[in-house]
Amino acid sequence: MLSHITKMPQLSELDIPAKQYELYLSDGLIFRGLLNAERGLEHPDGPAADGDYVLALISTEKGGETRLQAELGSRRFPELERALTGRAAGEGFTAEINGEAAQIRVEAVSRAVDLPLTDGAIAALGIPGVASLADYRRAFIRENGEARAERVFSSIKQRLLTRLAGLAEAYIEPQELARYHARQRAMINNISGDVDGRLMDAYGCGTPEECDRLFYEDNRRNFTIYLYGLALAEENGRVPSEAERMSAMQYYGIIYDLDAADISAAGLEDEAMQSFYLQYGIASVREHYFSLVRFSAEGIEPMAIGE
Amino acid sequence: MFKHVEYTPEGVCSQKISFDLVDGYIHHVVFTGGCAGNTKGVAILSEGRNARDVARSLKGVPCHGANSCPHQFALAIEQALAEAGE
Repeated sequence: MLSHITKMPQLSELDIPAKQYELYLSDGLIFRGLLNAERGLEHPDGPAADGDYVLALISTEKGGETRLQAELGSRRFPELERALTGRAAGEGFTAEINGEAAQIRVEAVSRAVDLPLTDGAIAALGIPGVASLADYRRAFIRENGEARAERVFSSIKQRLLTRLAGLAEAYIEPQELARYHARQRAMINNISGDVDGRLMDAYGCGTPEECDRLFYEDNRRNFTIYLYGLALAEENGRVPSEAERMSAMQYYGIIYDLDAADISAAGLEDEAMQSFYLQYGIASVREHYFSLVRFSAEGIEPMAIGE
Repeated sequence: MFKHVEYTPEGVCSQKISFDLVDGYIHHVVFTGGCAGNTKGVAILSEGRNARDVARSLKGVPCHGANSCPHQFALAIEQALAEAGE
């Protein structure tokens, strides 16, 4: 089996740019959820200003009465917001709104009050293990870091896999690749019944033949990664569990409408396990990326995932 | 009372609905996913309106059977108002 791979790639050769694994998290991001949860309201007596929420009763001859709460400065209701700026709760006045004379009464002015971002304010929240802004930043990274790294990995994954396939060299029997390609087409056809249409959507190409050629090249890449995954599993002594084996067989069985007994009887188990080794190869790339990831934020030392 | 809401709708195309409640009025509605034009339209028309009125108007709007993004938005509003004790 290992003979299929004639050159085993080193994951360090993927040359992932530092900006893709040295992830800086701003305070705007880190504290957004906390500020949203802790935001309060006050009701000033004085004039309303940008950012205030002004509840107004607007009466016009054509429109009748409308009660609306406008956020000054949002530009959602530009004329009304201009008319309300500087007014106080209880004031009544007239203004032209949408070309009509309007009687306006300011019923209430509300102003958002945010938690001050200070060590004392954070400590006062009584969050276990969090007595300062730096503690909160570290706790945020611990709780959310893996998910954020996963999103970045998803966005660069295809490029990394293409590079991995380029670094690996493998002897690929044309018949094996052709069977793999046919299986991928069958899977798409099974799902949508229109494999050519799906490929044209996916690749933006003009003819079914051109699209199939591009799809074939993608499958050559995936086949190389499958062979890399197979070689890596052999190197690491990784043997699929019974549950993993059954899962791969079921996936294969769905495409060809076969059950596990049929697959075994036809000697197709190795072929059915390709999805397992492909995923094993991809998982090694993900693991490599995650080992590189470092999060930084204001005032704290860079942190690795799980730190 | 200020309340920021992040709601996970069920059975519809949008994956998240977020909005702010300011003294019972709706602001900053954002639908993630769903039909872009329609959900943006709902968001714009809801801005600054009384939350209970918006919920009453949107509840029961059909799309996926008796369910829809506006219906889910109505449910999110009702849940938020109930949690806020309003």
